[in-house]
Amino acid sequence: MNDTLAMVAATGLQTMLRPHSKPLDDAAFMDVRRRAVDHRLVGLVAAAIASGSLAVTPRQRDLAVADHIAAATWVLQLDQTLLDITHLFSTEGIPFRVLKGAAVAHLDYPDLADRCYGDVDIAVPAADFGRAGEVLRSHGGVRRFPEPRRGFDRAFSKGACFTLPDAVEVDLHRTLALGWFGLALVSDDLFAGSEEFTVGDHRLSALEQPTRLVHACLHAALGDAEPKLLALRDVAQMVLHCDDIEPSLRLAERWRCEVVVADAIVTSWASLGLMESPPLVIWAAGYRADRRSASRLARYRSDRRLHAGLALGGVSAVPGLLTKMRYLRAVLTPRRDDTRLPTRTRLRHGVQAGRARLRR
Amino acid sequence: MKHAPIAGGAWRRHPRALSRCTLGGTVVRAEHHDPVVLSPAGATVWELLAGPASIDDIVSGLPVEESAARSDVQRIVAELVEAGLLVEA
Repeated sequence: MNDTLAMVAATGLQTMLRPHSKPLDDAAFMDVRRRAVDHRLVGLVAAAIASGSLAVTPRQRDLAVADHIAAATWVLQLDQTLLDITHLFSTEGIPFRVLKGAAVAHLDYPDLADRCYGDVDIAVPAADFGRAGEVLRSHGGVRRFPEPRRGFDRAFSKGACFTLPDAVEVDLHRTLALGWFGLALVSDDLFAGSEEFTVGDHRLSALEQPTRLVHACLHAALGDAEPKLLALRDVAQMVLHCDDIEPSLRLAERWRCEVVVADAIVTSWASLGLMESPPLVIWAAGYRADRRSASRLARYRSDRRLHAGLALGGVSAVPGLLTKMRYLRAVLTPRRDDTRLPTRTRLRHGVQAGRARLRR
Repeated sequence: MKHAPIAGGAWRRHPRALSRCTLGGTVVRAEHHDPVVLSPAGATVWELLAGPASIDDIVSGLPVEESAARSDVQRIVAELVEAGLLVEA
């Protein structure tokens, strides 16, 4: 079953994973279908059916068509929201970069239909983070988790998630990852350049290609304890079309995340059974992480991966003793009045994470 | 459904009308309107409206005889206008 979904995720690429020339039985197909919806692979299921690599019965095809139309309808709603928000940001003079789904679908996939997404991701400069949040609130957005301490968002946070009245979730980013790697990267770099794409009649700014590639790797390797197939496909999509690897590698070195980039590429190639060996794949295969880098990455893969653990692990990337103390205070003892979990529970998570680190 | 007759002017996509291809046809959505799944003929007309186009332009872009296509194109354009997807160019 994993192979079927991986084969679907590799649709259109040269893969060793074998196509399904005979339809799956209905139970197996329903399982693939359910997981494809969960993993936002519906567009690639449709592409696999259209290309003949996933044979289906007429009824299975009807179900896949319905899923694809539903996913596309949602994506169009997300794109409308994206236009609304970016218009408001532009009016307020807030610079932004569209991240992930919408940007990747438009800039990195040959066919938009293949890449579905489920929310809106936008990066804004740290200095504008508060104003951007106010804009989303004025648009009816409700922030899911409160700022742990005043000033945390601007200095340390990965970002914040807002839910709009029409149920669209907007992830407002200050940086691109939780924990150490998110704190180590230079967030101003996100706005150093841009690449534009068009939605309707509107031009929107995304990260430039080398930054987008490194972000795809951060998301694939660090976003979940088990890398998601769509995230791995995004990595493959960009690596295969990367003509000049030097800018991405320079950025990875500057952000101290070469270990993440190498890991994401190696995992992507192994999971999707890819056969081509472009220069970045050769680089990743030859990359050897030092112990410290490997240990930082391992924290994200742990079965006991906890937000508090990632946050505590990030303290060494925070410069200056006083700033470290401010960071730790916010992570371990967030404001009592508006935290989702009781302080005692968050402290317990922090202690657990600290013990786990000591055991390592 | 009866549609208002379409005059001889040119049409273009609404600036905020969005579309996406799927295995089941092209899905289009205008602001404050429900999404619509276009028929294959509707999808072809939609593609020909990537830039401003008159009914004549659209008909001449189709791989069928003009006399057979004109009334269908007029009907499809009227439907797209009613769905908020097209505006006069």
